[in-house]
Amino acid sequence: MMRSPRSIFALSVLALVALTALLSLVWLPGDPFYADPYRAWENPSPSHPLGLDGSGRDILSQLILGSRVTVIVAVGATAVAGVFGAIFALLGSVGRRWMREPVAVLIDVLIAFPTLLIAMMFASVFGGSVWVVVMAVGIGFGVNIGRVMRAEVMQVARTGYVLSARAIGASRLSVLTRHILPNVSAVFILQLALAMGIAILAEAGLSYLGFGAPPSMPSWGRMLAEAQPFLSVHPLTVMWPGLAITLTVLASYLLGDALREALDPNLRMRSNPRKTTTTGVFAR
Amino acid sequence: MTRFIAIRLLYLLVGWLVASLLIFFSLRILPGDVAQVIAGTESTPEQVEALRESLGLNRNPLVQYTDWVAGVARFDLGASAVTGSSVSEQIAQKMQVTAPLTLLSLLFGSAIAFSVGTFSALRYGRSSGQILSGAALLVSAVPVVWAGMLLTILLANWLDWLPSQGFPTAGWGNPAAAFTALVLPALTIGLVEGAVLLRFVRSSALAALDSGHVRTAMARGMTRSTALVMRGMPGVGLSVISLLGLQIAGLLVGAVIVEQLFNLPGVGRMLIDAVGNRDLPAVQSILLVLTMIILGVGTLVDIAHRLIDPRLRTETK
Amino acid sequence: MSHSEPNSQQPVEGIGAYQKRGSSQRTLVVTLAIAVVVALIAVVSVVLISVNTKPTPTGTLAVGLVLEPTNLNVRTTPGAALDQVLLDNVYQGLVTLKSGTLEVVPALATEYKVSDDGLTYTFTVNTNAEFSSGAKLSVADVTASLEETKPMLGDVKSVTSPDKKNVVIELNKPNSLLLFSLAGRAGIILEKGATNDLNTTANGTGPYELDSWNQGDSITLTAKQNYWGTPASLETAVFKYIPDPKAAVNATLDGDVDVQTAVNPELLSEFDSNESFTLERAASTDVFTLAYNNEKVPLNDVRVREALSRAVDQKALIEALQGDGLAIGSPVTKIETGYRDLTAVNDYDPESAKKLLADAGVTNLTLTMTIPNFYGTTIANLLVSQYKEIGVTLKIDMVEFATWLEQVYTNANYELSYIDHSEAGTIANYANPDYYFNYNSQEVQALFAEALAALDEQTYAAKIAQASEVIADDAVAKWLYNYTPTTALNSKVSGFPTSNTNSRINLEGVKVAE
Repeated sequence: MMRSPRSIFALSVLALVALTALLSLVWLPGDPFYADPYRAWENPSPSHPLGLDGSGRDILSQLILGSRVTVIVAVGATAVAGVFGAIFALLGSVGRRWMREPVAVLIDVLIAFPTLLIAMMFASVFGGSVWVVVMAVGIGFGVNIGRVMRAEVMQVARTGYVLSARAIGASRLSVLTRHILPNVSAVFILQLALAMGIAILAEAGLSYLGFGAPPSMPSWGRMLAEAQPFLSVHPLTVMWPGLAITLTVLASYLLGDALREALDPNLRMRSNPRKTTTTGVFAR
Repeated sequence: MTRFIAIRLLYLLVGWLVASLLIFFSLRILPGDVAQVIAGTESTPEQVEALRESLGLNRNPLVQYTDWVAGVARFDLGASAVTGSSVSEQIAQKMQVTAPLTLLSLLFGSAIAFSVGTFSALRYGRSSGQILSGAALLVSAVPVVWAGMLLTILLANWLDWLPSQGFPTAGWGNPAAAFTALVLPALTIGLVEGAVLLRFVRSSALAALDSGHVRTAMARGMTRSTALVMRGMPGVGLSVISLLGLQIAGLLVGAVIVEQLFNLPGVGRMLIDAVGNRDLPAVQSILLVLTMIILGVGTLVDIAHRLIDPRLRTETK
Repeated sequence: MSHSEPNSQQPVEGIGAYQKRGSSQRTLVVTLAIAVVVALIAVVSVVLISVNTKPTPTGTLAVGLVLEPTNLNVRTTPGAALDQVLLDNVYQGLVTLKSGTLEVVPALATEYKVSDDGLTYTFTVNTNAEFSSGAKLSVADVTASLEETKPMLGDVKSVTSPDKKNVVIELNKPNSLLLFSLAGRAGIILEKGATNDLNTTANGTGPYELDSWNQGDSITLTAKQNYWGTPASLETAVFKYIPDPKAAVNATLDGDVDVQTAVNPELLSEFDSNESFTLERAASTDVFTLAYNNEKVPLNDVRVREALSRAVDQKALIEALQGDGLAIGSPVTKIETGYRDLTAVNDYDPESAKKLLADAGVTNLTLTMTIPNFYGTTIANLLVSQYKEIGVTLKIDMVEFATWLEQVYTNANYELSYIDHSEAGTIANYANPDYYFNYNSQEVQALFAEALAALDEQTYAAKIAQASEVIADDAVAKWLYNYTPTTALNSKVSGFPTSNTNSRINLEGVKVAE
């Protein structure tokens, strides 16, 4: 299953990004912070394969350094989203009876708060940073996961299999761990892969609005944002970070697809519309 | 059934209330206040304090909260602390940009999703279908900001077909200019959102191809594509349109980035500016209106579901 | 996993159930869809009906500006964004600055006298002047207005009107900046007892009237009928706010605006080889200031501050601005009284900077610079790079202006701060120990007090120059550059002021050829 061309592509891209981030800890082609205003916007050359940006900094070095933020955001936001989602889903489905509906209402309310607004709040209080993106996307998408997973868990909990397990006296916990969780894990992992892609997209959007990583910590989103005003004069500079983001997001979507097929044969033939979580552009 | 609807509406009210609490009190955490922003860098602390007093910022937050909620209940969204003008009027004015922008994006998005989605479903398993769905996936992985930049380079800078940014001063008083100003931003959202939607349309269309009435239609001599378009797609279309209904509110807020990118004076820009100025009366009202719309539509859809599906009607809670 | 049926037709709450179809449910879905569409159409038609349908006036001057005021209240909303548009054109004071200079000349006063001891100022008020409301200007308007702004004018004892023509301002001690203050915001004369909303309307005595303010877009002024002085030279003036630099340049090239102030330096090349535009560099009082928190360890050590100042290569910064800046060595700019060339003090010298840091025993210094998020990042990027050369790690904290005001300006809770101090006379802030620099120098405070008390311009200039020398030697801040923005002018425009347009744009004598 994981040997199809697209999963090989997905895994190689993601591995490449991760390795680049690791590499940036020990080696960079140049000093990403060295700014030479006399050479601003210089075109690609052997010493600067991707050219120089508006401050006269080496774009390749920045792109490589920027992969760190991508990795932090992807891993961090996905983890936060997973934890939040799981908590919401479980409290809202198999938690105490009295708390299920309130949790459902809370999920509905929170889902109405776009990630962007959460990020705005965090950024106003703590200043723009990678962690703002991690927390905002983590919470924002975590609620989404919570809604999907809650529905999923409730559906499984109503299947005859689970009902009979309960009927023969299996404990709540054992039903949860032995029957329910294994059956929703595929959807959960799929959601996490989706969260990863969304998080990287969100970093671009939030950095563009100034809520992301500060200028002293290059990120792909920030590179896009800094080059944007000069788009018409120096279009090449927005290509590199844009391509890097798109490829990484594409890889995580493809990984999600591949994982889903590998984990759940029932889903293989075609995707269920219900599982196609549509996400508003606001998250990007 | 009536009981269910009543409960649902009650939940909606509770949801609105919870949202208003969350919005109001989380905004109070933000550092800095509007008096400081209005007073700027050339004022004495006494002036700032006087301003704070006159704006009513020193009142007990609970009193401020109840005043605000009581106002909203009377459809009075309050006045901006910065300009003193009515927030409802301001929102209405900014909606002149944001509402058409959202609609146009939906139009572009669904046009792309339906045409390409149906086509690639019909070509399921063939290389053209594969390529199309691959392309859709690729486009859905493009950040909106970048999509906007690429389209600007292509359509505004190179081909010079559309203005790259801005909105005419006369607004819709100059309809042609206003419309063309919205095309590029709407295409940006439409393309990316359409690519996401496309996958949904495609899989629904695939399911429809398998369904009884499309097969029946084919058995009666319709071609596969005619049967899908004539018999299958209406159902798919309706479900997608209802889904779009759910997404409209999100899209309204979602226009923020695009409004910023294309320099459009819409609700999103207003929100960002208001937060920047710490104009909390404006911010909280904009947020509440948006949240109320989103929750309201959610409840409507929920009730509609219950009405549609008899199995849900009998199910015990 | 055999019992798992995530693909089953059993619906759950939410979007999931849409895939099921049946005739009755289809009707409902149709109904719902129609409802949504109807609602949308309703919204759109309401929106379209309420659209404002003002045609673009012809024969007007359109000026492109960057920063829009948050509201129009000249009493409570400081900031150059408001002064730029309303001062001189709509609102006037007893005196004003001659267009494009810092020279004080009479405006609503026909003449004024200053007593020899510098304590009494007598203004003869032009009672022919008229407010937009139609009311004639009276001495009562003047005294009421100045009474209101008294705290901003310094140590004023009283504002009185001995007769129906004259207004007398008496001071407790001489203030050589009084006339300058009166020429600015604090001197604006409003109609006594007028009840118009200052936030959104303007009732001034100037040659133009506020026609409309389309928030987020533009402010429009029209020539006033029966203006008391030389009538306005333009029928209509539109100040159009275009925050995006590229959009601003496009608007100018397309002819949507006739004048673009402060063109983004990196886009200046767009006007190359275009003969319908002239570019003019405007002198200004804008000093982009890298402020040090003078009380914070290790910035309280003058050697560390000197090192930080010497690490900055002003030439490189000005190169990045495409030449739109002047090197500067103190907070006093070339066009202000008391300017002295101090660029040699703590000029770029990374080697001595490293040595100073070593002498101060500071190693591995990491500093955070707080910067409002409306500035571009190029200069910040250059500073990061230049500080790295001397072994200092510069972190950048980009914050909203509101946060900057609270953290830096009000609470002085920062290490380094980056902001444009655009007003003239900012040297006063260095004589204020409570200002966010946390700079407390008795010497500077004494010199500034003497400058204020000076009875003639020469003494004032000498004292200011002396104070600026002390401030420069103490390396209170790094004055990165004096911003001299380029104005792009369509060749059909004549008479547009080319100096200090960041602070005020006096439209007197500006003409547009048809």
